[in-house]
Amino acid sequence: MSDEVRSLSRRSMLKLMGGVAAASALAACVPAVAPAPAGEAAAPAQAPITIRFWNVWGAAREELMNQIIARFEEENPGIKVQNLVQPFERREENLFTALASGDPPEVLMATRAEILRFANDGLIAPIDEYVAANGLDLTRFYDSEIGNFYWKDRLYSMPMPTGGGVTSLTLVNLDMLHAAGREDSVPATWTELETLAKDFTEIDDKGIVKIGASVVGATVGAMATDFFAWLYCNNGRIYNDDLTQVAFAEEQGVETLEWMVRFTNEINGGVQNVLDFFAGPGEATEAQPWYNDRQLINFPNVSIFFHMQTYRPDMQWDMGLRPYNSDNPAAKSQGLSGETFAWGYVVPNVVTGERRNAAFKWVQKITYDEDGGGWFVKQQGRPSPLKAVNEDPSYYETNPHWDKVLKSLESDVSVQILPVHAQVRDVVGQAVQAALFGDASPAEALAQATQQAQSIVDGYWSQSG
Amino acid sequence: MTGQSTKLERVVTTRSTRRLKAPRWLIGYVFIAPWLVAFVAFEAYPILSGFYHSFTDWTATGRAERFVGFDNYIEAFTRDPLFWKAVSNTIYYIGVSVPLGIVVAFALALMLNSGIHGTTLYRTIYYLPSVVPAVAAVIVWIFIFETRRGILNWGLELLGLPAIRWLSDPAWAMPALIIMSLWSIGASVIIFLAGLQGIPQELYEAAEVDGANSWHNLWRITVPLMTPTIFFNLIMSLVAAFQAFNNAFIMTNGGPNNATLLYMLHLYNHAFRYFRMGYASALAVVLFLVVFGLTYFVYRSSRRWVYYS
Repeated sequence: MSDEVRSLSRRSMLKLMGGVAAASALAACVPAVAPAPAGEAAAPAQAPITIRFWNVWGAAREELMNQIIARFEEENPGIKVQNLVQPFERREENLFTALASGDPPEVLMATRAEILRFANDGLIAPIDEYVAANGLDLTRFYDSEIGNFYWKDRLYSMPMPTGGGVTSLTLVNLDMLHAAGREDSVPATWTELETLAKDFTEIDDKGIVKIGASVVGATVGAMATDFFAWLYCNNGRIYNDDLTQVAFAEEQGVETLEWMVRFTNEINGGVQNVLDFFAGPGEATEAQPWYNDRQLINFPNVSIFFHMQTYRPDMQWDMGLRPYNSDNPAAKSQGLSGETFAWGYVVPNVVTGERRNAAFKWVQKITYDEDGGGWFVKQQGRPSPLKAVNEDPSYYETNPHWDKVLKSLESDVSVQILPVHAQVRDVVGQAVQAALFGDASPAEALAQATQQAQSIVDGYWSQSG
Repeated sequence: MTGQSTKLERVVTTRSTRRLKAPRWLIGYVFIAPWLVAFVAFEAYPILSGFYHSFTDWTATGRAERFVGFDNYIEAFTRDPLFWKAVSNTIYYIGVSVPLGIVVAFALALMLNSGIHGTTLYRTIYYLPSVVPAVAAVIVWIFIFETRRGILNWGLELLGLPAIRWLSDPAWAMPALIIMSLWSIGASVIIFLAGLQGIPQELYEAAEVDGANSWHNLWRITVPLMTPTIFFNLIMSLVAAFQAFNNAFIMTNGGPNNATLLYMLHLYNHAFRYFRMGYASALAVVLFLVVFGLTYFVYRSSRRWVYYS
């Protein structure tokens, strides 16, 4: 033992430690590189560029995305795309960590609010130059769709799928309606909705057995989404025109929330009943009441058309626009585009040179190209932000109400939001909850939310100058 | 000549001693170097960085950060409308789940130590939930808590009690989370069991000779000799409860009406939903100080109630 120790001199030891430290430091400095496929190591100059593509198109949609990747790689032999599907519940955390690491994936899927935030902070590359250099015609997109991804007059992404069609749809389960011997049409106004919902809601001592309709979602986020959706159908707005003031607590806002609370209490027996009724894993599943004739009216987004093909292809249904407040002469049915979940694809600023160009090519494929992003949404029976794709008559084969889907897209209003919108909408969601649980009156809850939200907005403007 | 020889021997001895002492000193560090490097890089640096960023408005999204002094801390204590709600929810959760978890884990360990058949099987069964992925466990629990068809309400009905709205009633959502926390006490059970099996059997035999019954054995022998294990489990459970996040994040997302908004969930929202890393760092520092203070208090108090012998 002592001989072994003696044979290792202090100098040798220091050399050893120095060597280990230097090797560790050097190893840490080596940039992370995706391993080259076997057989390609011998020719580094021609090695393909690998695009790491983070997205949330999981489950059945992953295979669709893989097919687009295969086509893209065939067209671009020098580029490989890694389809890296992220778990949805940790999406925001992973996105943030990747960007903060300094070595993010080349292409990231993000919501509009996140994209505006990244653009505002100079973290992602604008795509304008690429669009101009490649002669891309942006008028092929609906104005409201492509408009969602501009920040300070620069374009940061192209859309896929639509940011619209999120709040504008009203679907009626005709199987339920006809089983009850009714021939009603899709409700167009709040009053018609109340009447129909009241007739079809059954409540026992444990809560709701069958529901006509619910005007509130089951989570804070969904509650904010629903409040904004009903607010716009009452001619309200979230912000003023120059985005310096929050405006959701104006007269229309209070009236909207009062109606939501009254509807929930009087027709559904309270918000707890609604939360219980829709309790579950949250993701679209065949267990949802809509697919089991326990929910008459649904206010889904356009992804429902894909899920219905999977879970209840034989369902008889009809659709219309989201009902509006007919007591307000200025109100009409309209959906919100880009307020939440308008998805785009961004390239971080640290991705440069050929890798950036390759990344933009991939963004083009999954957004602008009809055989890319256009094909992807068509396979799911949902509309595309590209006008031409939606004109394909094959849509009618799976969706007899396709004309109404297009009409709902036309009814969408592109809502201007700030990079701090995620925080503002959570504040609103809290207010809706407070009112529904009776902690505050709708007017009080919204007044308090206005104070908080305005402070967030003021903070944003004071920092951004 | 002799004098020179002695001097030379001293030099050789000194050098030899240096050669021997220094490597021993350094070798220890070489052996712990992998851990040390990882600790500095992944623990110490982020902690110190968090302290620093808690005084800034860092967003970690590329925008230059500004020094804001104690503003983040002032905001937390005076302006953040959900801060105190998150604090009170967390105190409620810890105050009930930690003692309950320790009592139940201890009771299960006692049962497993009582010589029943199939101890190994039961031990595995109790530990199994600790390795089940959080998302899968939460989905199972959502069904257990269901108002209409949930197994818990079915049991209540059998007892002639009314159904409880576990996840939709703000008054019952936190108890639901606490009940669910018992799902992962398997590790504590195993540690308690190891502690119980270390108690000398002679002590019980001697007590029996003196006329002690089971109750006396439990309170006069088992519990006192288990206090080091109870102390260990208490510290670990406290730290884990302060950091409770997954169940609330996946199952209730803080609802209904913020009834399960735990401190870590509030911190997470600011960090990863609003990209307010500076403010989230301040919340993390506050949490660190509270956990540190409470752990220190428990540690100091242990001199009075933990029996090491």
